Amino acid sequence: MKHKALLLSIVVALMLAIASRGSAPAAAQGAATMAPTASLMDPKDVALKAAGGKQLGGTVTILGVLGGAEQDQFLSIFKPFEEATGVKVEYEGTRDLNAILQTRVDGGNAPDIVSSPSVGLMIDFAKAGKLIDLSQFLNTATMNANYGQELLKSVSIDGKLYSIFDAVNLGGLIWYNPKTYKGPNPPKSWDDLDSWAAKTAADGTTPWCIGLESGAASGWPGSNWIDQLILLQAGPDKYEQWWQGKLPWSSPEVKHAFETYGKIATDSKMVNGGSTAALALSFQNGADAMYAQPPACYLHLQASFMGGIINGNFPKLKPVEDIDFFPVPGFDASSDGVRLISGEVMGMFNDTPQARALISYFVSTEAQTLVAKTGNWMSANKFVPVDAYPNPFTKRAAETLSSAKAVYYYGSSLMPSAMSDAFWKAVLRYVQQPDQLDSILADLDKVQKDTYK
Amino acid sequence: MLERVGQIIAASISIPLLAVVYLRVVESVLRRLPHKQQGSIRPWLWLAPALLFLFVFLVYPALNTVFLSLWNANATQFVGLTNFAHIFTDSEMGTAIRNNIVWLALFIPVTVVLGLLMAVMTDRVSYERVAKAIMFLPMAISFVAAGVIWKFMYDYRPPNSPQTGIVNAAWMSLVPSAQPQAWLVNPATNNLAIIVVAIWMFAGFCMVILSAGLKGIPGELLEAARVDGANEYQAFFSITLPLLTPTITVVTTTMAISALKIFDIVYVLTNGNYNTDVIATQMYRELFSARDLGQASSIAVVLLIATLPIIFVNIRNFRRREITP
Repeated sequence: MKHKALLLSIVVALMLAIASRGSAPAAAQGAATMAPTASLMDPKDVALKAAGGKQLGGTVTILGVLGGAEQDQFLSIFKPFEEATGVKVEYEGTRDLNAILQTRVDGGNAPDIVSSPSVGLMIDFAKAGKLIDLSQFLNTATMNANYGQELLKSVSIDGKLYSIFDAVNLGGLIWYNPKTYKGPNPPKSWDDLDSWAAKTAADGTTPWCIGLESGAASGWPGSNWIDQLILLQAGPDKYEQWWQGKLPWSSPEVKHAFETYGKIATDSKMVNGGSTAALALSFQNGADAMYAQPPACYLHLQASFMGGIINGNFPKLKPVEDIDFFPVPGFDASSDGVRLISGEVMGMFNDTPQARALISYFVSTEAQTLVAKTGNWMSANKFVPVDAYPNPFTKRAAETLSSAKAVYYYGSSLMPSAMSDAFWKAVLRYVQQPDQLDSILADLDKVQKDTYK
Repeated sequence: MLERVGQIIAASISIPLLAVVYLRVVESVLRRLPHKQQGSIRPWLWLAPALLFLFVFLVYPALNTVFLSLWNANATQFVGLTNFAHIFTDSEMGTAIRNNIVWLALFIPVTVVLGLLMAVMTDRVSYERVAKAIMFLPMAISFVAAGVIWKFMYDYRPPNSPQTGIVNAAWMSLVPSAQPQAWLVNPATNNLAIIVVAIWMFAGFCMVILSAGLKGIPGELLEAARVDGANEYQAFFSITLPLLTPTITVVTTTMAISALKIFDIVYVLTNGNYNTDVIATQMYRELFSARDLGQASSIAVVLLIATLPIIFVNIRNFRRREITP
């Protein structure tokens, strides 16, 4: 029976084409303060140096969640590395990373390197002694200078570094169509935006577009909303306590964030199609109704990658002219300019010279500039020049990030994976049955007690 | 990739080769023994490789699962029956068990009756083979692919946008003034919607087995009944159905096991959200999300115990059929 489950999960994982574009974790005060550009070297020279000046040859295997065009873009970052060192980079993409990785680690067949959207997952493996301490070969001073000590703390245990940040997204952006949206831009505060939304709703159009469906990861777009609301409403300290499992879900802070979200997501006057459509629409199609004739909604909260998804659904639209964003406003002066980032982290399971070389290469500002040049992700490295970003969405997101007062990681990605899984499901249950909030939060408290040990 | 192809080719050549070598060795050893002993030892030696694999891949994992179900999440502490107590007190597990009962109650009768209907009806037409092949086709699709196909069919868009799912399109053109339905989200329809997918897949399978049983009924019996003045209904209910009972039992028990271990379709369509969880999705979640080996094993054991009586009925039925052909 157990074998059947394993086999099933592998088959399912291989075939499922549904993305968990979750997010990654902890406080990163001023992670992306753009420093003046130092002269960058040729990435190939950096790669050769990372390999100790030798043609290493051999291969390095990476397991991750990317597929299709995104995977090609990601692999383009390693082209100079492959050419300079002769190391072949083999990437395997799956949408069911947790199950595949667990199975392969248990089976003694772990990939050399894993690139995961969940820091919680990496921390779990680090605690189980499966990950290699990267500070053995990465220069701590350089890492701190490039990525910020606060950010690296979220992927370290007892001073040992277990992950690096590979490609990030800026969360908490409100996407809109500049041709139809006539509200405050940018809004002075959440209340400013909310009162415009209430007026629009009273006039008979739903202001918000929401899409929560995402296969096995359904619910994550909603958990990102609640992450955002807890951070902005309750402040960073409470936020940290919450994802660390020290603040119960039934606490007034968390409950308030759920209710703020519920006022939008469960009200058929506030969200296009009401809660049913919010639950049934996939996150990729979440903003489509913004471009209906006439528009069925005006605002969509999602991370920096959403612009590309909207443009993919409607290829005729022009960025900035037809698709644009403003960052989510704060609730008061103290929460204004506080940003959340999500993204992928990379950890090392097998200590091979090739894997070491790849990691050393990847953290360099030169390689991280190539991350920016993909146009699909942003880099957490502070020294990546803003000019490196080729498309207007990521360039503006990078500017927003660099002017942020403080930067944090999504709590839902920092939690143990069983907790974030329960969080996603709870969001769906809440949107369907808002009157059950207390029992939903009580259930989450139970999971919290079981998972943070 | 090329390496893998090489490995597959090497394996497909070397495994039969090894089997032949093994049997040659066995036979040459046996030949040196007295004739009487040869007869009693030979079956065991011939069976040995199969038994070995059966033990390694079935018996040992099953026993190990039972063992693990009595331990904690990472098998470091003995917890007795705590995991089992959790299964029967947890509200999510309660939903899953309830849903599995709904599955048993709807899935088995509908697949068996539909299968029987298709078998009897195709038996009487000249294009039987084509009709049967078409109806069996869904069985050839993988569960995950079927789930994805039906997910597109059940697709829902808010009433103000064009519907892209065929089920909603049909629903709205058949019932004027109907609103589009979120079939997979609405708790009133979602379990049913998922069971329909499974029925679509399995009814053809039931048909094929029942059809084979139908062919085994001697034509003279039916002819004699008709000569004696029985009409078609009487012939069906008094001759065909009783003679088909052993086959129906086999099909029913097979469907019962399928209903109990249903996983992929639910996982793809809803991942157990909106009260559609079944036992297998809970087991998957305990194993891969919570990484609780003990809890996941205990669910597997419960599932095994639930299927044991069905397997028992099936085996008894097979044996009886062997004695009375």
